[in-house]
Amino acid sequence: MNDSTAALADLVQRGYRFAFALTHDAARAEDLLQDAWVAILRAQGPWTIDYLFRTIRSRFIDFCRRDALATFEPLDSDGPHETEIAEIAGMDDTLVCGAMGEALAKLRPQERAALYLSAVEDFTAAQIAEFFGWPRGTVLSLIHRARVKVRQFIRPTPGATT
Amino acid sequence: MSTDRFNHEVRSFYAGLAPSAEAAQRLVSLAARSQHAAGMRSGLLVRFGGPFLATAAAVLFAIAGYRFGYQAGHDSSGPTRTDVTINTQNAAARSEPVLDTVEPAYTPRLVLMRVHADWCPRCPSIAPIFEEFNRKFSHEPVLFVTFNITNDETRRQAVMLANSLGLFDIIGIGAPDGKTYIRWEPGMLALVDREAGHVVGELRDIQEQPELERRLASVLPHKGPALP
Repeated sequence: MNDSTAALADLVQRGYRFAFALTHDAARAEDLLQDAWVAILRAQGPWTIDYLFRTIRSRFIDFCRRDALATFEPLDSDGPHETEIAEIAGMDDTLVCGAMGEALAKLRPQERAALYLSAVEDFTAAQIAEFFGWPRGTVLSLIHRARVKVRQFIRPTPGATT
Repeated sequence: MSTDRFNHEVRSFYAGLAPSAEAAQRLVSLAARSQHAAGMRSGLLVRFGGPFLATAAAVLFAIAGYRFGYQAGHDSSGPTRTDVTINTQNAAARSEPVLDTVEPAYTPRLVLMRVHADWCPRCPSIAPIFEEFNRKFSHEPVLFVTFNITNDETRRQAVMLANSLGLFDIIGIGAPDGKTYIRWEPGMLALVDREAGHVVGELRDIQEQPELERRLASVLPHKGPALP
């Protein structure tokens, strides 16, 4: 496999993972990736990760509007509350990897996408905000809520709320 | 639990995901061929570019100017791009240019706008109603506009058109972030009075057609629609 093909293969993998982050469904992720890929083929590139992610994002929004699966309502930009911070600090370091998929399934697509771009693709909050057209505070809130929900799902604390 | 540790767990989860080998191979192959073809084209352009590019650009510009300009005639039920129907004769039935007597800067006070999306189940039933309004009020100073929001590309055009017609201030919604958004509702008709700055009437169901027709007739410069 030459460098160009290897780069394309890497693009496919990362595109699929981002599509999975949005849909959390293997079949839909593959459909979404293929749809975006065809769109880029028609536009004749560019074959960059940024353009691929933006195309996948656009196609996902089109899918959702068509299927009425999700709404993209404005989100508040509240930061983490003090009680939530205290709950996180009290949890131990064990994280059951097998439950990660189930935990992520509980998140909203916006939360999963923000968490994926932050944790896996190393996007900054400002970059995620620019990517989705959200306020930076909203992105920080999304990522925080996603982390709280995942941790709460994997290791529930009695009486805690998400 | 540190953030780094948490992120590591998330990365490990996603690292284990991949599309089917067959799908991945197909996508890579398609892109590779596209890149190869693009490389061949750029090689030919470098060699034969110059006058050929200049001529091709001029032809494409002329076609784009005609294609994306105002289109005369009635709107059909399944538009593929944002288009504007102006109350002129149907140029599709003719081969010669149409000479307008309307001043270029003139835009009617009243706009009957339709929001359409290919994936909207209600839109096919609303399209004939829009057509009937266009036919009945074709001689009146009303601008009939379709905003196609099927995908990002057409929606971008729709936003620009709505903004150029001054509709943002009338049908837009202010958001906490300080920006104004248009809340598109596919399958909706809205009668907007641009000078008065408000929506005169809306239609989301075929049963609302008589009421919208009455409201349109009441705000026209003279009484009632033209006789068929």
